[in-house]
Amino acid sequence: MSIDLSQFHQVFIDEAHEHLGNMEQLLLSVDVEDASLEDLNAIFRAAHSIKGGSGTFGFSDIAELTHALETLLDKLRKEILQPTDEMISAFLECCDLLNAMLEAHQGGEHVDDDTTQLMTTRLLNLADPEAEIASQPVDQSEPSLSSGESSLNHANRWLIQLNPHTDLFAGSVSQEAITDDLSALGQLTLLDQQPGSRVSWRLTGPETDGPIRELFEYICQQDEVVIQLEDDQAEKVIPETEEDDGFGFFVDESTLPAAQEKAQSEQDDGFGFFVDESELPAQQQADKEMEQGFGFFVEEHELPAAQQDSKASQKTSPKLKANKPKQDSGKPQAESSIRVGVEKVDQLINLVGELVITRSMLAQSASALDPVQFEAIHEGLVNLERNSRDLQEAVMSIRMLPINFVFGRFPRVVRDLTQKMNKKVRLKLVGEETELDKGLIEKLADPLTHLLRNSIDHGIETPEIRLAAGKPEEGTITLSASHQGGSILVQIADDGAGLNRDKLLEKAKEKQIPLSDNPSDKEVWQLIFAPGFSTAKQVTDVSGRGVGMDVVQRNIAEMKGQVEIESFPGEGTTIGLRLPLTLAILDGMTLRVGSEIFILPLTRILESLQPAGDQLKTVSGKGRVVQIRGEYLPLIALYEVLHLEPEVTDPEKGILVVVESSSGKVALFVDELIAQQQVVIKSLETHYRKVEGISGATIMGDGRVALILDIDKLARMSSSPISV
Amino acid sequence: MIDVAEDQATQNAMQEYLTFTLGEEEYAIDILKVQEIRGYDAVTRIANTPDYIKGVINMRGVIVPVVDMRLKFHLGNATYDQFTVMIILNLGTRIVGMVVDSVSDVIALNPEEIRPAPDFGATFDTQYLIGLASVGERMAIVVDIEKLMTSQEMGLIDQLSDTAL
Repeated sequence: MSIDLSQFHQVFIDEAHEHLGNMEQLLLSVDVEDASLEDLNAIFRAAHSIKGGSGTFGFSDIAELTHALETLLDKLRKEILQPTDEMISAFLECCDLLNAMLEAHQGGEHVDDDTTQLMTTRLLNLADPEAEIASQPVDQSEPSLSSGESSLNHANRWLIQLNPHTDLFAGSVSQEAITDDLSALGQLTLLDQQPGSRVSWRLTGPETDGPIRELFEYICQQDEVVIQLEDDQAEKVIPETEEDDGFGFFVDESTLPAAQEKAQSEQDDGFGFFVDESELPAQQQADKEMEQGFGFFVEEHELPAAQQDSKASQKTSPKLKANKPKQDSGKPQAESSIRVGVEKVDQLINLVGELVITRSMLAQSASALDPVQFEAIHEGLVNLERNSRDLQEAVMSIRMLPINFVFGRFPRVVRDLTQKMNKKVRLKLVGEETELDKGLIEKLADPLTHLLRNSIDHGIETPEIRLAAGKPEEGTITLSASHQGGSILVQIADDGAGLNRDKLLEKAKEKQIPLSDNPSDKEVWQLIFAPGFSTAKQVTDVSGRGVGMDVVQRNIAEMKGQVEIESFPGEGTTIGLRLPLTLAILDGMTLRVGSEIFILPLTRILESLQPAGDQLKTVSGKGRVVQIRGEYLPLIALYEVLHLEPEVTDPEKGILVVVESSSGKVALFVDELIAQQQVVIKSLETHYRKVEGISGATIMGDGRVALILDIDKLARMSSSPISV
Repeated sequence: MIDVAEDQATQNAMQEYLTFTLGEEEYAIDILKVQEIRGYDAVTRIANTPDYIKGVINMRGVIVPVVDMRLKFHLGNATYDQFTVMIILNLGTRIVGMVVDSVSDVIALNPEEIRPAPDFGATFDTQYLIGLASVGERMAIVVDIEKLMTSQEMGLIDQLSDTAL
């Protein structure tokens, strides 16, 4: 199966940016003295999610860095280490670096591993205080630099883009003159140069754009030059990381003050390494040449051999910077789609729903009119119906996407993971075309990734064990999606070892999680949702830290869904995510009990019948059952459960609707079936609250509200009337 | 001049209230909480709810619960005919319909005109009362309708314990 993963890259990058934003916010609120575990957990989860996503898309550098981040966070979370200011700033810098890396990936470039490596080492050092000693000399150079560096961060960096209508340089203007004038104002870097005098520079120094504008006034029209404050996210990272690992090594003691000053002012441009007293003139020469447009590689031949080491970092800077112009050129592409707030789409859907209802009300009143005399009205109504239906479909389709959008990412995940873990796994996808709400799809990605990773890591055994157990060498994971009644069921089934009840119980004891004396399997399986619960023997970068499952449950609960676990030792585990179809249209059957109209999800209805007297039996203390083709089904009289006044109380005179509930087939006894109809599900909870046995409401053609029955709840309500 | 200024000040402090009757008593609520007043019809019953929750109605596509205050506070006769009125309240994010005997008036009151209610064990728990105000010959009970409607006592909103997993 070959799927172009790049179509999902944007999604991942957006998500990751969101996670990083969150993380940053949380980090900034962390009180070092008294950090809340909740916050640390949240930061950890954010890092974990980024790691998961980056692994999926093969951004191994990001995954590696986040893994290191996670390692340190994990120790904090488990209170092995106490957070320090140093850690927090390392985290923040790491966030910046990740942002820069994401941007680099977005531009189709690759960030040099060394920068990442340095940050990774730094994080790991923090995570492991003993190892830190080795790198202490490096750290010593930090304090002396940081003060100067921080002030430099405040210096403004201006991005100047000259975009003249005519080729200026072909005329009277000399580029050299401009560069000279600009460098008089501050530190100047040439970023890009294209024919037609289109040039962009970065200028570090002036506090306002006044002087720059003044300068250009004489050269070109105001709209031909764009001057803006530069967002410093991407660049900030580099000087800081460079400095951490050994800037100090290249500075001659005796020249320190002077060199530092110079270095600091140049750091932003990534040239910090080339400063040496003897080099100064050459450096200036380099600056000069650079202004002429030769870029970053000029200095190479002027470098003494001792500075070769620094090349790695040097390579990084131009690459990251090269992104800036790239992004600008990427803009037109985004115009083919627009990002619209979900609430706007929801509002549209509501309004269209209203329109449909109004139309059917109109149709109802018009039906009383003479078709011959009012032919035009009838014709207009028919048109209105068609148009409103089309409109409704179109609006609905804005939000609906095939689940393949999530599933499509997984074959790659499976491939990478299995290779890493020397396991053989085949991924089977079922029901990829199942459509569901876009909001749900986006939220499903994270939990599904977690579950899949868990299945591969913990579920499927190694080929040797599988063969020994008499199973095929290759494990199978089935990822399926289907509509089931009013909900969508997404299942991940593996044919691995299954959950180990004893191990879970043992771990629960160790973690002091309270349990009943003789817990059922269901209760035991629920344990895996406890935060920090993992039975993995060792922490791998795949799973075993015990995040995953609590995140999964939280995410699914947010979507008002449920997580179901089924597991049999030796046969495998099936994890089902049952999600509501939040704003789908429901195919329903309208039925009547007394004067009330209810809606039953059509997909749950198996058959309906009028029973004969001998089919009905009474089971003492258990209520009535009905025998249908040898099966005894519990009979639920809707009027009893919902306390209504029915027209008929004798099932022989009413109708029995056999429906599929989560606890098996049941027969619902109602007065009458009316019609099959599509209804728009509306929530009762918006202005009221949850109602037992009712999953939602809808508005009928006559403007009345009809309630949608929740079959599972009804079946449960009637089967345990005493315990309630 | 001074009079005008003072008038202005009192005008600014004035708040308008909608008064309605329940049985013998007259109640006043902040008019800004009232979205509209409409007749009572087409209420869909909800099973297993207290009798004063009459059900839900369709308010232009929004499903809104309806409470009969006469049943809730055992005041007046709960009859439903073409004269039965419903006050639609807009309480921040929630909309609730409330059936009362009749809607009488809109009055403007100064905060000083509302005197604290004596703790006499009125029909409404005193925590939902803002105070008493005299309107000509009559007296109106000023109610904090938002607090009342969102209270646990009314059972209109899932309490936290219900929604927790």
